[in-house]
Amino acid sequence: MKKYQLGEFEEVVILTVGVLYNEAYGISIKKDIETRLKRKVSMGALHTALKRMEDKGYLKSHEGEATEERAGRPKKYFEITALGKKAIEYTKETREQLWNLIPKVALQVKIAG
Amino acid sequence: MIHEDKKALPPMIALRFFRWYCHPKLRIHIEGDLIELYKERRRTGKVGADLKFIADVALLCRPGIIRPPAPKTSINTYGMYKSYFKIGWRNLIKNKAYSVINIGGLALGIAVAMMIGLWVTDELTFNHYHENYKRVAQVMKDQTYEGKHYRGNTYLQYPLINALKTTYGSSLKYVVPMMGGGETVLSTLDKKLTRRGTFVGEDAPEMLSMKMINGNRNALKDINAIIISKSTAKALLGNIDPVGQVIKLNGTRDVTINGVYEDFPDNSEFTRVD
Repeated sequence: MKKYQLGEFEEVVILTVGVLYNEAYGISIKKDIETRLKRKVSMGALHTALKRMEDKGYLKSHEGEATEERAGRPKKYFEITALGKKAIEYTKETREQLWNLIPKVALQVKIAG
Repeated sequence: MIHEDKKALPPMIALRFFRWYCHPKLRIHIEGDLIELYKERRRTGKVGADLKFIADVALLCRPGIIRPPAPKTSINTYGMYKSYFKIGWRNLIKNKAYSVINIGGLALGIAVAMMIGLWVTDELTFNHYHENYKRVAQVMKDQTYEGKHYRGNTYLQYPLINALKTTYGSSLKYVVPMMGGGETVLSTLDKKLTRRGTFVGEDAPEMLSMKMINGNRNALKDINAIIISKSTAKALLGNIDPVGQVIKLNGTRDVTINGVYEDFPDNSEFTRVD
């Protein structure tokens, strides 16, 4: 059974929410991923991921201020829940376990190749 | 809400399309993000910003963002009551001793209340079987004898009937004497039966609105006629037509059954008469 299900892009988004801490809303997350990871992020992909993780209980949101550049639309700030924290810890641990299991030779071969 | 500058806004067609398909809960926040992004891109040129905006709207059109086909509104309270009953049941299971005391006590209380209700109904409908129960009265004697006061004696002198008829006749429709009887042996050729009965005046069936099954309410015009209840008729004669049958009272007197009446209910003054 999959205990915590977190896709690759979802993982990037939830980690970025953690990085931005109190400043994580749609645009700021998008820009942060684009500058830090050098990859294009579409609004569609981002908001879908945010909604999915909110439904799963990994993220929670609250309404923020409505500024003029948003034409009066309020921001939606995200933060990581306790469950979300467990989920990213779980993914990290499983990755590390896999890393530790790779024999050094395998990587050397790869580098050599 | 802050005033919306039309020029600063993205292409309205795309924005309207987005508003139309978007899930209502997400709409305002994503819209804010879109507008913020658009305004930023706008600084580097309107056409590019417009195109990017349209592309964003198109890319947002995906399952997680699109609203469900029908608005999700609950139209019944089924779920609420289901939850109530579930919680109630769990509490009952949890506190077994109190549940038993509670439910048992309630059941006992309801049972007693129902019993009392039945009793009261029985008392309140006493003699209602007789249609004119409000206007039928029994004459009793009120006397002082050797310094003591007696009331309620129903054994009265026979001439009282004539006195009542002559003095109060205009206000009395029927004056019906009743006398003695008590337990009486009714016998046919092959059967004997003890039943309680009474001798009555000929107007009794009319006065008491007795429901005649065989014969009619004039059945007692003949001095040697008797009427019997349905249950007595059945016990004494079985399925034979009782009217016209001659039976003996206490083994001595021949009388003719001239009618059969429906048994009186239990809450009647005359329930002792079979």
